[in-house]
Amino acid sequence: MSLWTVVTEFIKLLNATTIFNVFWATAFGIVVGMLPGLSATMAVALLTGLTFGFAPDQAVVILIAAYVGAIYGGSHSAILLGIPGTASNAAACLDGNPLAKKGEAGYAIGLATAASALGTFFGLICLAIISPLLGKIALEFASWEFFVLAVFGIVICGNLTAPKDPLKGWVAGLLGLLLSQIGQDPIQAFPRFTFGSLQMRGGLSLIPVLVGAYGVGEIIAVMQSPVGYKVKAKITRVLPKLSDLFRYWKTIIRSGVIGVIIGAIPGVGEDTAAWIAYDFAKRFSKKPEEFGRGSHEGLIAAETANNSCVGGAIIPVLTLAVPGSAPAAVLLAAMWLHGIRPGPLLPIEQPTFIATTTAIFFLATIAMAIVGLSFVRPIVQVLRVPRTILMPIVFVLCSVGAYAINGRLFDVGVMFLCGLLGYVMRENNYPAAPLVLGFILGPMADDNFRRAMIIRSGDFSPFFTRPICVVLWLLTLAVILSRSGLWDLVKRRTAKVAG
Amino acid sequence: MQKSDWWCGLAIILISLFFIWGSLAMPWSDKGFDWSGAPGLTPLVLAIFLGITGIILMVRSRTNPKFYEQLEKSMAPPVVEEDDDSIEEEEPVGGELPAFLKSEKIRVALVILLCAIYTFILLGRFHYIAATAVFVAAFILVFRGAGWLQTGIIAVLVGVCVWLVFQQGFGVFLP
Amino acid sequence: MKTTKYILLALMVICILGITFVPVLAAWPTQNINLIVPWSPGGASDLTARTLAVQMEKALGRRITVTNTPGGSGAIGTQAMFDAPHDGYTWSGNADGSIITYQCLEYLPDISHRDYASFLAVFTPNVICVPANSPYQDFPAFLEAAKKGNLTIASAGVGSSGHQAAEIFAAYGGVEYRHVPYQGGAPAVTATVRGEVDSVMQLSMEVTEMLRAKQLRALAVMDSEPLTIDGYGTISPITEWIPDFPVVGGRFGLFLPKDIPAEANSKITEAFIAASQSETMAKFAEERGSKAISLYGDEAAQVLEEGARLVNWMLYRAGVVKIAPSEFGIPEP
Repeated sequence: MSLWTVVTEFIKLLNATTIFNVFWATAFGIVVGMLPGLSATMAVALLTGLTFGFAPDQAVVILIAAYVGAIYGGSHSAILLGIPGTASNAAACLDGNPLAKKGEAGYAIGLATAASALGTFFGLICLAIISPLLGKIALEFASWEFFVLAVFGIVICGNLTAPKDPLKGWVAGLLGLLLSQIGQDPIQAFPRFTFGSLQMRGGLSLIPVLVGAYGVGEIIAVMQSPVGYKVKAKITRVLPKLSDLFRYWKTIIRSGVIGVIIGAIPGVGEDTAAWIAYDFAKRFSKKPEEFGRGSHEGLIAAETANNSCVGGAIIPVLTLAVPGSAPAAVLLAAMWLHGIRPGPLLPIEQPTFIATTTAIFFLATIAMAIVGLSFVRPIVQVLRVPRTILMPIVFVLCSVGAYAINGRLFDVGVMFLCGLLGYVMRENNYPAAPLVLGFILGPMADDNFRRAMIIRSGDFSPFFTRPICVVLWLLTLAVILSRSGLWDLVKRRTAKVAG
Repeated sequence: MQKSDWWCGLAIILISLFFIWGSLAMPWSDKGFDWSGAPGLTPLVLAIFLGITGIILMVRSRTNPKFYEQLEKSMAPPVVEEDDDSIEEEEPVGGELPAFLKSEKIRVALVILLCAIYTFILLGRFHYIAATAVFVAAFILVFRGAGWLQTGIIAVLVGVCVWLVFQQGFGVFLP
Repeated sequence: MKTTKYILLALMVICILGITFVPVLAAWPTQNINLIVPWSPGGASDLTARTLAVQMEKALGRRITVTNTPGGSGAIGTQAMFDAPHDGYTWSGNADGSIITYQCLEYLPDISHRDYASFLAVFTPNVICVPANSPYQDFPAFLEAAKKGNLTIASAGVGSSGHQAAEIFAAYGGVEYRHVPYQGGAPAVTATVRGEVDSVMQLSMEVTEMLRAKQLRALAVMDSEPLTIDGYGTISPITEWIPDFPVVGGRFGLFLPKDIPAEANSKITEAFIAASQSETMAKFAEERGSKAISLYGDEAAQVLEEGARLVNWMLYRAGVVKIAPSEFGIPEP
């Protein structure tokens, strides 16, 4: 893919319908992202159901715009309320909220907007450069590679999303994997765990599970506390000073790189990226003592990283069909729904799609900057709507989203039950992301393993002799070693021997 | 957290036992496949792993109190200064909240109950707009979000707007 | 103040009731139509249904909304249609090959293929394809290799049209093969392109693009006459080598419950005839290596009956169908 393709694809996007869709979707993303408790994943999941009747190209445009908008929008409530709108803005709270308390709320939002736009832009450049390289190994991917890839994803998602208590990440991941096994099996069409019900035979769909685990679980959690908060801060100057951005160009580039790399690793999302970038910025800063008390640099680092992470997270979606973060997982599912099959074969089946995605990203970035800077005041009004009125409306939208995918009420029931599960998990500190990733990767592992066995009539060896498989196994092993403490053991031993 | 891990561990083991039983009950060989292609293979392996995590969780909660001390320390939220005039508390309509709305458990139960009624009873049996309006109105009134009149207007608006936008605009058939 | 409140509430109630009960009078059709496609968007059933819907909207003067309800090999969406009132406002878009197996595969044990009013608009034959770099240059070479056994054949899943075609090929060619099921037609076709399996026998509609892109080579079409695909060439019929080979393919169109009101049935039939014989439909079929047909009423029922006999007994002998089709009143062909 040349840069020229991106330009031509971008020009193709410049029509009234697309621009209109990009703008409202970005605004929608910002609003959902801004509301505490409602995550970026939910924004994308909700829109997936709601835009089901749209043409595939418009639906993808809307979803990417909402994704970008939501990750950015969370910074508004982080700054104004001190409550991150999405998990990815938690790091932005540390410096954004003190700035708001100093009376610089508007300026903090402006800085966050600029940082987010730069981060997204950085992410899209990486998307355009890296994806085609990964795409070159496309045709090497057969059932064997897909199976090992699924194992890799599973290991990573269990391990990295719950860094403090990996066991709980694993439990959530395994639960997701098991839920995905319900329904007709992909090889023999045997009904598994269906209790003879035709509805269960169709299996659980991703969107109801996802909207339930994230959305409904969040609604319950938000309503839990008897006391709610709303904003009354005043917004003054919004446009950031260019000198402020130039001064921190090193921080911006460093955070951008961190965001893209973290995003591209399956299973780790924007929140981790923001924290790591914030940490790095603090370490390299000339004024580390300002961090946590309203440092411009800290805010810029966090917001650049979480937005460049979006571009990073889409790279494995497009090239390997393995999501880099939870919202990217929904994006992947949405693309499937619309007949776009991301993965190693994408460059063969839809050669210009990566260029189109890059172009959409660019457009969404522009929309985000414009909407973010010009509509700050009206958008912030949403934070003044009491949650008692907002939450039932969100639940109604959740149920529409779950229903619209397959048009069956069974899915709304599934959504509700997964919401209960999500709430129980949240209360006991189990992360929801591995559940969703496990749910996506489950069929991939099951299907490809058994198919590979049929093709070579029970011969295991291709799993270990095909070159890409070997590389993936090694990566998986490295992840397990580095996270399980075994690595430290090995290091200590070798140090002892050497000493 | 130690205590909840014990119970979660137990629940997880029960879930895994259910899936193990279910997978073993499936056919393990038939025309066209042997054990490696059997439908029960993947769920069986996954359920065994889930069982193991459940056992570890239960054992951990009984034998490793130090782990929990460390965990709690690392998860403690950063201290936030309290005096802050940029946000304010939401005012419930009609003055003070009734006592039962101050208990977190009852609030959660109420949310679940309202959503369950909407999902399993209202949807599909009544016209979409009516079902939705009733749900939204009940939710707002129960949690003292707005006065009667305001609630009614919001509820009907939500029902009609969602119906118009999706059924008529986006071409999605609603229940 | 209190009175205004009650007046407002009463108005709201009236509005809601009004929207609910207005469309009762007047002649059929008075409502919009819900067309359930029990498969994912983008597949052959979906594309045919959507093209038909656009054409028939004009004739009926009502909006036809397509809802995709995939799952259970299309049985869940079909069940949903039967659960809805049989008033002619809920349709399904499917293929004859799926409809005829639901009963014997025990997906919908109470619904026979004789319970449908069928409207078939597109016929697309199964094509035997191999990867572009396959050693088998023509059908005789392929058949000879197949007779040695252990060729792998991809399909869209157990009981799918590609699987049925492979079973019929195995029966008439006197060969054994290894069935490799995928999650749908497109993955099966791409797997064949990258050489994971030896052959694929999906519908011509599903392989046309890959044939044009020279990624696949077609060896024979399971029809009695040759098939010409623009931009690829002409494919010889399989009957050149196996003379008694039946015509195997998918007939896509609309399937409704048979007991809808007579008025609705005649209006739909009228609209269907116009749509299926339109220029748009012919062009749609030709672009996808298929033929536009216009079968309805008894003629369509006859096609379903013949297919049900052939396919269900074939699947029974292959061990896919577990209960003898005669239990459901389907005699052996």
